[in-house]
Amino acid sequence: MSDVSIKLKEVSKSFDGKLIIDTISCDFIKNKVHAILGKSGTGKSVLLKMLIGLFKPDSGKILINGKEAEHYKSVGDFKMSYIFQSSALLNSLTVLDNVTIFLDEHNVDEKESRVSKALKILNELGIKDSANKMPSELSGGMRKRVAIARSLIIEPDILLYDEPTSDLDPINTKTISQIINKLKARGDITQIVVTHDIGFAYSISDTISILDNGQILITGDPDLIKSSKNPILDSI
Amino acid sequence: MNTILAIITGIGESLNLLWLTIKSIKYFGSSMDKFIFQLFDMGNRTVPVAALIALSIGAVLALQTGIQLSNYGMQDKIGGIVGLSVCTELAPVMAAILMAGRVGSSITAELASMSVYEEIAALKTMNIDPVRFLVLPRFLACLITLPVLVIYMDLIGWLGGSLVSSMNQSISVSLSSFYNDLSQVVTFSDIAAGIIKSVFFAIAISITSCSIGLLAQGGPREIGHSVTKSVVASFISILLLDYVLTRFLILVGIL
Repeated sequence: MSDVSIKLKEVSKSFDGKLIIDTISCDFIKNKVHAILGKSGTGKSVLLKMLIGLFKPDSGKILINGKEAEHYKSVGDFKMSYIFQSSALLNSLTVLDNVTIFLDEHNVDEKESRVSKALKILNELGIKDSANKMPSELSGGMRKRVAIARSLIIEPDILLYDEPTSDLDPINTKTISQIINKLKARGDITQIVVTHDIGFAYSISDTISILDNGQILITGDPDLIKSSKNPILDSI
Repeated sequence: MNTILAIITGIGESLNLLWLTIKSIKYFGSSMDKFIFQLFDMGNRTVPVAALIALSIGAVLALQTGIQLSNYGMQDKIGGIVGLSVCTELAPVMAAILMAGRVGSSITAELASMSVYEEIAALKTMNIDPVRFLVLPRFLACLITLPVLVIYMDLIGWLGGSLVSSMNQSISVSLSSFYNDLSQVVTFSDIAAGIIKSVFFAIAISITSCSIGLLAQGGPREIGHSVTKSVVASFISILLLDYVLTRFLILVGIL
C-alpha cells in the first residue's frame, strides 16, 4: 500500500486570467506533517482549498489515497477536515454546538454520545469550560482551538490548516504547535499546514515546501530548508 | 448592458436556488428545530409592526373613501370597499413589503456575513448542504408566516376601517352596518386571492434574500451592499408579481 496520502499532478489554477497555481506536482506522505511556506498572495490557501474541494483545479489531477479527488466528498469516502484562517465558527451557535455540528447534521451517534465526545475533545484542547459560550466571547487563540476541535470530532485522516497562527500571540502559537505535535505523535493523521511563519513551520514539520509565484521551489526536511541559501527564505 | 446581464444572472441564480430548495424539502424533518426558530423569529419581527400598518391603512382608507361616499349618501357601502381593498391588495402587498424590509434584509445580512467570514465554506467542507441547513428553514418559515400575517392584517385593517367609519361624524356608519356590508361584498375567494398572492411573495422574498446573501463575496462592505440589493430586488419582484398575479386571478375567476 502506498505511503502517499495526497498526490498533485501538474495542478494549475487561475483567477480572472491570473495564474495562481502553476503546474504544481508534489506528494504528501501519510501521517506526516507537511508545511507549505510562502509569502502572502503566493497561492498557499488556494492550493489548500483545492485539496478539500472548495476550488477545482483548471488542469491537472489531485489524487487522494490513489483516487481522483473529484470522486470524493471531503467527509464522504474518507475523512478530511479544514481549519480556516478565520476559524469560520458559526457565530449563532455555542462552542459545543459548533463542535458537534458535523455529528448532529449527519446523525452520527446519540445526542449524549455526541456531547460527551465533543466535551472530551474540548477538554484535551483545554477549552472545556467554554463549551456553552458563544464564539464572539472567545479570544482568537480559543476560537482557533474550537475550530481544531470541530475538525477532530470528524476523526479525520487528513487535516488541513490555513495559517493556524495568524493573528495569534507567541503563547497561543506555541499552544497550536503543541496540538499539532501531539496529533503527529499519534501517527494516524496526515497534517498539511499552510503558513508564512518560518519558525512555526520548523517547530512542527516533517517536510517543508516553499511556494512562490504559484510554484514549489524547494521541498525537504526542516534541516535541508534551514541550510538552503534560497533568497526567498529571507523574504518570508 | 452589464446591468441587464446582472439582472438576468440574478434571476437565474434565484431560480436555481428555488429548485435546490424544493429538492431539499425531503430533508425537512432534520431542519424542524431551525424551522421553528425561524417561525418565531419572523413572527416576533413582524407582528407588532404589521398591526400598526394594518390599523393605519384601514383607518385612512375608511376616512378618505367614507367622506367622499357620504357626499353622495352612499356611506353605507364603506364596509365592502374597505374590506375588499384590504384583503385583495393592501394587506398582501404591505405585509410582503414589511417582510422584505424586516425579515428579508436580516436573512441577507446573516447569510452574507456567513459567506464573507467563510462559515458557508466551513459547512461545505463538513459535507453540510447550505441549502438544507440555512435556506430551507427560512424558506418554509417565510411561506407559513406571510399568509398568516396577511390574514392578521386583513382583520386589523377591517377593524381600523370600522372604528373610523363609526367614530367619524362625517361618515357615521355603525359597526354592525360596516360589517354587514363587508360580509355581503367580501367573499371567501377574495380572501383566498390575497393569501395566494402572499404565498408567491413569500417565495420571492425568501429566495431573493437567501440567494443574494449566499453569493456575497469580499469584505464587510459587501454585507451592506447585499442587504440593499436584496431589499430593492424583493420590492421590485413584489410589485411585478402583484400585477401578474392580479391579472391571473382575474383570468381564472378568483377575483
